[in-house]
Amino acid sequence: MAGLKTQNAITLKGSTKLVTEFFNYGINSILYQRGIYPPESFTRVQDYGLTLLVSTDEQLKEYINNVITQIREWLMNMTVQKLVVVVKSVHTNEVMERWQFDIECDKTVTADTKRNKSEKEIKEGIKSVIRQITASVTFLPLLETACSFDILVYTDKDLDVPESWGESGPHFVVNSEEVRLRSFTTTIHKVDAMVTYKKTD
Amino acid sequence: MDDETMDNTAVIRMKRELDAYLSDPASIVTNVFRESRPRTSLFFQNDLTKTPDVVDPRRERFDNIGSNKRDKDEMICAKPFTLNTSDLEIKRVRLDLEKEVEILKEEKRVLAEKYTGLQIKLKFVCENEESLKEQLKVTESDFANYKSSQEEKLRLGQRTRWRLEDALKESSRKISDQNLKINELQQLQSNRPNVEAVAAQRQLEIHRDQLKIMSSQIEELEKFKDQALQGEVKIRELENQLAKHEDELLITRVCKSKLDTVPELEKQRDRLIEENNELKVNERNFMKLEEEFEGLQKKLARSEERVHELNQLDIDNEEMRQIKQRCKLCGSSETQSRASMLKQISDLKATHLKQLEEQGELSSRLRRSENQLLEFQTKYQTTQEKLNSTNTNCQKQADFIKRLQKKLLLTTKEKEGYKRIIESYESEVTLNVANPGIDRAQQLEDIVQSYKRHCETLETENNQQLEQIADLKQKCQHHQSGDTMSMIEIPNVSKTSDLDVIAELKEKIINLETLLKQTQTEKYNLECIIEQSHLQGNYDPTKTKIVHFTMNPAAKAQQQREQDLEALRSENEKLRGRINILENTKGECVEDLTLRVEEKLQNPSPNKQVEDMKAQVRKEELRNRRLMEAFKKTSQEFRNVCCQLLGYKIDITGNSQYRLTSVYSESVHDHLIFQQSSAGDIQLMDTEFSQTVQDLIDIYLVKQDSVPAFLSSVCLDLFGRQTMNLG
Repeated sequence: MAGLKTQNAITLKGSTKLVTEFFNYGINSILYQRGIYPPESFTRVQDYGLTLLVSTDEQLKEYINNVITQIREWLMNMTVQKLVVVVKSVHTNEVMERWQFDIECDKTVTADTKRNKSEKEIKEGIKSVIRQITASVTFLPLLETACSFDILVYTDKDLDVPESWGESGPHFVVNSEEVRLRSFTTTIHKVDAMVTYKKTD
Repeated sequence: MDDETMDNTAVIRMKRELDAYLSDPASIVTNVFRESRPRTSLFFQNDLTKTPDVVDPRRERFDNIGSNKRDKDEMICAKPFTLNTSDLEIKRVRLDLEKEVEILKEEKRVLAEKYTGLQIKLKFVCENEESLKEQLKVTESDFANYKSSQEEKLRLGQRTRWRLEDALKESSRKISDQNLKINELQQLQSNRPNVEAVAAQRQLEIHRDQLKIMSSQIEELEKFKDQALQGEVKIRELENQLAKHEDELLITRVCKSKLDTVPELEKQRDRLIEENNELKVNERNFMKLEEEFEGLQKKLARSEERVHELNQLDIDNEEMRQIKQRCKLCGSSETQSRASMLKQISDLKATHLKQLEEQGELSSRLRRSENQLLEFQTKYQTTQEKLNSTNTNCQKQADFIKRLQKKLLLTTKEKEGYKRIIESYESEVTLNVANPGIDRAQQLEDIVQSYKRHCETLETENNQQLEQIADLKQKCQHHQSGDTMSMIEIPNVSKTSDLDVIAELKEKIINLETLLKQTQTEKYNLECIIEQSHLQGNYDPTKTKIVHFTMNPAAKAQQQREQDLEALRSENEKLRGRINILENTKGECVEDLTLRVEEKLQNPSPNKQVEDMKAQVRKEELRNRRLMEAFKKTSQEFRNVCCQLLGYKIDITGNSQYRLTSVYSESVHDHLIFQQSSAGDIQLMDTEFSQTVQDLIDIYLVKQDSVPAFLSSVCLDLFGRQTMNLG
């Protein structure tokens, strides 16, 4: 019976795990929904009570894994402020879309802190955000050119980053329209989602 | 004796023969035996056929020898004492030979069997061979037939070809004949002289030749045309590709221009950030200003009060002036003297001053009264509080008194009870026992008295407090009356002015409210802008930095695109080269076009190389010249500084000789020459001037061996001389 008992307390480690999991699915969903990678290179996965699409492209998987592992570390350190998925045109290098995930970290939390919030409740929040990402295709303009993507991470200024990481510009969208999406919180990390896209004339 | 000798000779001969036989047949037998054994089965075929013939004569020989031997044995037996040993040996040999013969017979039989088997096989093989030969013959005959038929076909083909060739020749001949006939007919028709005809014929021939040449040329031309058409098609394709490349180039230019705008955009962004900061600062400033504004409003209220007072003073002043005018009028009517007027004026001034003083006093009084009012109000409040407290105290004390009275009643009752008990005791108990009861009663009586005293004092206190309350009440009433009086007085004074002030203040409040609304809307707008910038991903670069994985998909895609672009550019270049070559050849056939293009690209024209080299040389020369100029400049400066600091101008005369001329030298020829030896030592050379400073040389160079000291001393010496001269 003990095994059936749902977890009502969440730790920093658990929160980090949930948030990184969300980022993985979120990035994959964006890439699929926006047609940045061919749909046949995605496979179906069941999670949060949703059918999610995850890429099978080895290079892409490796890249996302690299980013996610680094973000996991920074989430544990509470040094990450934002994660941005930038969709750029390959031909003109123009920023077409900008999916921004603001991360608010509760810096009072330590490794031993436990907060009362059930995993189910958090996953419900994540589910609603992912659903909104999926639904946002309806209002976002069609990407007519071949596009690629980049993942930016806003971190604290004094943070030392690994060699494989370099500083970047903010990649603003020129002549943009902004839409705020839902947010979810684990009580340790709060993630606000929003999308900025190029206004069509 | 002769017989004996005969016998002896016969015996000897026989012995010899036997010996010969013994030595001979044994060897024959062994040889036969040896030869037959190692031979292979193949050779046996021949041997087997021969061996019976060979063996039979041997046997005969053996038999013969045997018979001879028997005869001889008989003869030998006649002389047994001589032949015993040999006979035994012969017998043994014979037995051996017989055995061997048997073995050989068996072998012969086995070999004969083998021979028959092999013969059967041979027959079978021979049969096979024959059948194969027959087959071969058949196939050979078939092949010959086929060959002949093919040759016939070939011949037929050749014949048809020849026939066709002949027909072709005939047709060509016919054509030429027809041509000739046509010409002849033409000639006949023209009826011109023969000479002309001949000439014409020649011309015609020439023309024909020309025609042939022309026709051949036409064919060539057609070929060239085909090639040219192919070339044109290629050119079109290339042009299309070129157009595509140009379009792509345009796109890349647009990209570049857009990329160029990026720094501008960044600048704009920075500007916006600055503006944002300024706006924030402005907001803060606005808050400060609001505070200041409030402060100033208060000040304004105060100053308005003062203005009001001044107005009152002005009114008083006006009244005084009127009085003065009246006085003047009075003065004019009564025609008083000027002195009296002056006096009056002075009086009036004095009165004015007094009035001003009075006004000041009044104003001060007013303030004082206001202050007093405030004090009274506070006092009133305090007194009211006191009153309340005293009232509560009174109530408490009244309650206390009541409680005491009740206690008193209880104690009196107790006393009475005790008295009764005492009385009962007295009545019941003897006198001795009554003493403690009496003491107790006395004590109790004392207690009662003390209670009574306490009650009295409490009553007096109560009365006193009641009196105090009454006083306080009176005082309060007095204060209240005073307050009402002052309250009534003050509004009378400042009622009109206050109304104005209130109206002004109301207006101001309205203005401030509108301002507040404006600022609130501005604040809202600013918040909206901040929110938008936040949504757009704005950040504080002093606190935050943006990082990304350097090998991200976008970068990879960009890199790939650049590579593609580069490849296209190179291809474009190649195609251009190709076009150039094609244009230069003007439609001629070009072999190995791609090779030539690559060659051209790899080895640019020699002129270009020469130009490049020249440009490089020019650049190097320019650099060299600049270096030289810089060096000269610095060296000049250095020399000047050395000259100014040390007082000697140093020139190199060559051969590591240095000429030093002092700035204080009297003539240009007064100079010292030093030479640097190969070892690095510096030596003074003999000059006219050096002879004049021989003493210094002795002191500093010979004794001290110090060139700097010597030079300094020379410098000082010359300086001294110059100043002397100047002096």
